Amino acid sequence: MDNINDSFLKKLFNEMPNENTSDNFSYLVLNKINAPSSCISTALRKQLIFGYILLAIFVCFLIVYLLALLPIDNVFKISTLSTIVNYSVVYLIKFSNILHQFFLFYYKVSIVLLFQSIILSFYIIRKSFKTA
Amino acid sequence: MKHQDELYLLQQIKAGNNQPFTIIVNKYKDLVYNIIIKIVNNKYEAEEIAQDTFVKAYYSLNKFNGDSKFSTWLYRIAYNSAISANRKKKLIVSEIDDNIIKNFSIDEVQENISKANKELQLDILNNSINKLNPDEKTIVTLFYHQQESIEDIAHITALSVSNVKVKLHRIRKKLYYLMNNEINNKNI
Repeated sequence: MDNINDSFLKKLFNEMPNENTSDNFSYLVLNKINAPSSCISTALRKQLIFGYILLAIFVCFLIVYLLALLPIDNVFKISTLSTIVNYSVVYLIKFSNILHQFFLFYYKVSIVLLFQSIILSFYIIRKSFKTA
Repeated sequence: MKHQDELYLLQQIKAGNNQPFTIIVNKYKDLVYNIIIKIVNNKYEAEEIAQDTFVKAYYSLNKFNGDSKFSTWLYRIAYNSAISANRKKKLIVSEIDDNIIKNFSIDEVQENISKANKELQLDILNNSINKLNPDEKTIVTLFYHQQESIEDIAHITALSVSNVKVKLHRIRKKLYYLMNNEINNKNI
């Protein structure tokens, strides 16, 4: 394995010109450090958006779970809102119940999804802000 | 800049003084940029990744405990950033059969390259490096161009020392094979 110290290649590589960065490179780096919020790179911005999407999924899961816990019959009695809003709430609860049944049926998948979305969203958002 | 001076500057930065970071950036910017450009092959993208590398290094400076050289730690950030940026692209890399690489004479290639003028030699080398995959480009550049030790390359690329040695051995052969093809194409 000693032949990796190839003097011919080393000599050839040494003659290769170095690529140089632009003149204002240091200024741009310091600018990014001093004004991070305005200079988040595209990659970090994408990561942040992904984090927010996951957080939104988690919030949706939470709403569906909470709505599914409400008894439909009592909504009319306790609500003082208009009939249209009342019906909307009822149908939302019915929809939530269907989703809830789905989650109960595929409970392993839904639990994994739920925890994954919570952990990932918080991790990504925290990481993005830290790096930015 | 001496190693002790560099450690002193890093302590100053950790304490919240931004100004010494300019000295660190100026010292390493071209080296970091040269690693990244070999992987991403695009000047503008390489410059942005290099800037992000320094920003990441600045914010993670508390994690640098001096176990390795600062340059090695910085190169690792640069390498990881460039590799993850490259992962999203679909690169066409020429795969060469190991048996072909094994069975040809390196001495002959060296002799043929020596006959060419410097400009042509560098052109042959550059074209051949561009045909290597990003990992191979990084390892070969770090070892032959930036003259990093095998231990440091292992740290930067998160490979074992023996794995780096095996890879270097293979890349060296592959590089000669590619240079041989270039020579044949140029009819030297």
